Amino acid sequence: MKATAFLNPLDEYLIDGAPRPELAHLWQTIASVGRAGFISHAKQRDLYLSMQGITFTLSGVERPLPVDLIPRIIEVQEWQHLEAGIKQRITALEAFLDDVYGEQHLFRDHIVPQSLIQSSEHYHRAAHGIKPSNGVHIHVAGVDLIRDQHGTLRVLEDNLRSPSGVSYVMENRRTMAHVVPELFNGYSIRSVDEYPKRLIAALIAAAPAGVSHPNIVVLTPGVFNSAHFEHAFLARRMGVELVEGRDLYCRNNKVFMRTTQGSEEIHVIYRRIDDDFLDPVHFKPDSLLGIPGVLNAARANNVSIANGVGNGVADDKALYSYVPKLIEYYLNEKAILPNVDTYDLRNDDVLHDVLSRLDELVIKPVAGSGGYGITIGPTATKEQLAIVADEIILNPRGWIAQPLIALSTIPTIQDDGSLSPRHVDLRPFAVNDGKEVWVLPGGLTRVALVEGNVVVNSSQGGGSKDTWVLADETIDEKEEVDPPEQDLQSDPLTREIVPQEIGPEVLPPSRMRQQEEQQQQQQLDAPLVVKHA
Amino acid sequence: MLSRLAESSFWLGRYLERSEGLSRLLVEFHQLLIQDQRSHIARGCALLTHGLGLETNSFNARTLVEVVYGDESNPSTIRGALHGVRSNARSIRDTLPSDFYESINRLNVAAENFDVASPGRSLKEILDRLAVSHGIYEWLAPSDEASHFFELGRNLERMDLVSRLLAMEIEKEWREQGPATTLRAVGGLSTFLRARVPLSADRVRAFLIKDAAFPRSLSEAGRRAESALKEIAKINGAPSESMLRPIGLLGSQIHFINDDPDEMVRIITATPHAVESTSLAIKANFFRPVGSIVWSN
Repeated sequence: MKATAFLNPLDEYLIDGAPRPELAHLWQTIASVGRAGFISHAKQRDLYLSMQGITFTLSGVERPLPVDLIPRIIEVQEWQHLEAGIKQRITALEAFLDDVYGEQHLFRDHIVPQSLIQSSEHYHRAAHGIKPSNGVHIHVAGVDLIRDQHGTLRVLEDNLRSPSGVSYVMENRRTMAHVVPELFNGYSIRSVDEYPKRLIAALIAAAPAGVSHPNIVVLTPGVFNSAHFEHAFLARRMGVELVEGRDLYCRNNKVFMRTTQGSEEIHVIYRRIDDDFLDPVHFKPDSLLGIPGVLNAARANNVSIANGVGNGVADDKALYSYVPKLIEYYLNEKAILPNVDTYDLRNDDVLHDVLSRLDELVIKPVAGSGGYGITIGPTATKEQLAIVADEIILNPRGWIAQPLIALSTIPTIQDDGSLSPRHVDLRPFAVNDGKEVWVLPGGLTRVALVEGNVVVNSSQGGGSKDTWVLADETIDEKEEVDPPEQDLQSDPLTREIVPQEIGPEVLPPSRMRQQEEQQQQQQLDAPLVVKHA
Repeated sequence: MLSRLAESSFWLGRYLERSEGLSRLLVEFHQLLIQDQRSHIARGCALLTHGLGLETNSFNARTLVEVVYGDESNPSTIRGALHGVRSNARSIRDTLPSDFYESINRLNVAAENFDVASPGRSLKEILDRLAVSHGIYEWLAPSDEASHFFELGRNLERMDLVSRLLAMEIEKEWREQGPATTLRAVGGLSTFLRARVPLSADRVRAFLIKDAAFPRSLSEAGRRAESALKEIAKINGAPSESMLRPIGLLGSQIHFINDDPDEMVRIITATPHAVESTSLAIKANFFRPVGSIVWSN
């Protein structure tokens, strides 16, 4: 039985088989490309991705992250709603982290039970009292959203540690323009190129006080990490060094990089390794990926670590259900983007209710990520459910339950070039520089490539789609009225046309004819004369 | 050496460089225009065609591709430049490494299979082939006089194209993507970013004018052109001062340039003229077309 067979997922393209009005033009283009067209385009895409080295490492095997050739389209208004919702959420979670690792007002006001926070495996005492110089813990966030059967976008998960995927957002756009330029006809799409610039600005803003030209690095676990392509991509696009833990060391609470010219002090580390591996002095003592002493350097405000250490407490799956309450508490606003209903299994009544209908719910381990360990009630066998039930009873804090939501679908190209609906989610990326939370227009649309599958994670073999946020034509008109300080004199188009130089004609036709006329002995086109004996 | 051989080597270098430069430019403009089909698309097209001295009758991404890809009869277009590559190579094939000539023929096949509807892939193919041709030439061609003419042509063309690109001021039209696009159009994005400076329009302009390490900056290409020209003059015992003057002067202006935007614009505008003067000077000194016989008594 398919996971969502009993629910009716919403299709983002088609209503009763007809395309939504704003997609009619694109739908026509898609039809004109046809099955054969898409089969050949898919081959080009695979070749292009492999040649460009745009890969994702799955179980040790490097392979391209498959980008489906049918884009997802988000309209202006929906995007504005979504953008506001994400900004609100990140702002509230920032305030939460500041509070949790600071004065802890929220416990006194009984907003979240203290036990819930302190039992979180991502709550790090070691991070307590570390005050980021510009107050930012969440430099980068990737908020996972899904659209339910009624069309409402809901937050499924906040990724506040090292959300990955943004490089694919940028590369997907280039790939699409390379492989299927015809699909873009008639649409104006907001650019996704601004991200590295925003990120580096946020990292510069995060530098320790008094450092005007911070030395910034991207810290990667190394080439075997699934997202190594992304780490290299970001370092390159930001123009900073990509380092491994062994390239850095700490002395006197400062972090240094080993270079051919001796030691160079580092001020901001954009780390893409987990807290547990970051500093063997405080966390896993056998970590080979981290930098011993880096946390003390951060506490001494000699180095800034992005994202902040201990952020995981804010994207803990058990805290998730409290986020709307946190938004009200810290911002005095109602949450713009709703959550997916989540059952807190530490409550005995809830626990009993959930255990009695496990077969209709989705059960997720609190500690998990990447789609591992998820049990989808309706598709699980009785034995599987029994095992999960035992584990929940043993450790209710370790699990959450959510109702099954029929993720919306988007037509997706199949191997034979045909289209078939596949479930999708959306991960927009936000960057916080301390003054503003900026949301990249677009995001990573992940798609479950197997029919009926609702787990879209890249680590579960999912693919992606280019996500088009349509440009706001009204803003554009305003720009037309007020052109960016362009006087006529400096307009390149009013300057004199300079023709390119042209060499002499090497093989002019007149010469060619005369050259051809010259008889050559044993010409190949001479008639074959057979001599008779 | 044979005058005709020198001239064809020179233009072989120029056209190879031109087809590469134009292909990169077109790839990047196509990427920009395809995502941004708003009212200034016509202006975007005009920027490229105007900057390249082509007719400006394109109004969308597809027609722009048609105009800039062009045809064999117009050497200011990609197809025309590729035709120039092939005909020059053909007329001196006896002097070229056979591997090189083979790579030029492969290039020609790629050009014949060009697909206007999907230019990204076709242009990528052409760029790959061009890289092979360039590589084989560097591996195998002897460092003789012909190679100096080739090198001179290549670097003069480089200067011409980079100055044209800078004159287009893409960043004024596309503020966000402009600086990165400008760099990509000369394959310089990674090199620029390695220097760890912020990606801004001013920095990009300064980089492409005066960076001493990037092979396509005006300053570095000028230096290479100058040294090729010196070699040629030395071999032929020709006086080199007057020939070297235009790019030499430009080179010293670049050397002492400050960050004044007006000064940068002056350099950008002056470059195509310096290139043309050099081209005319070597033509007068070394290329002797039919009818240029000087009678003495």
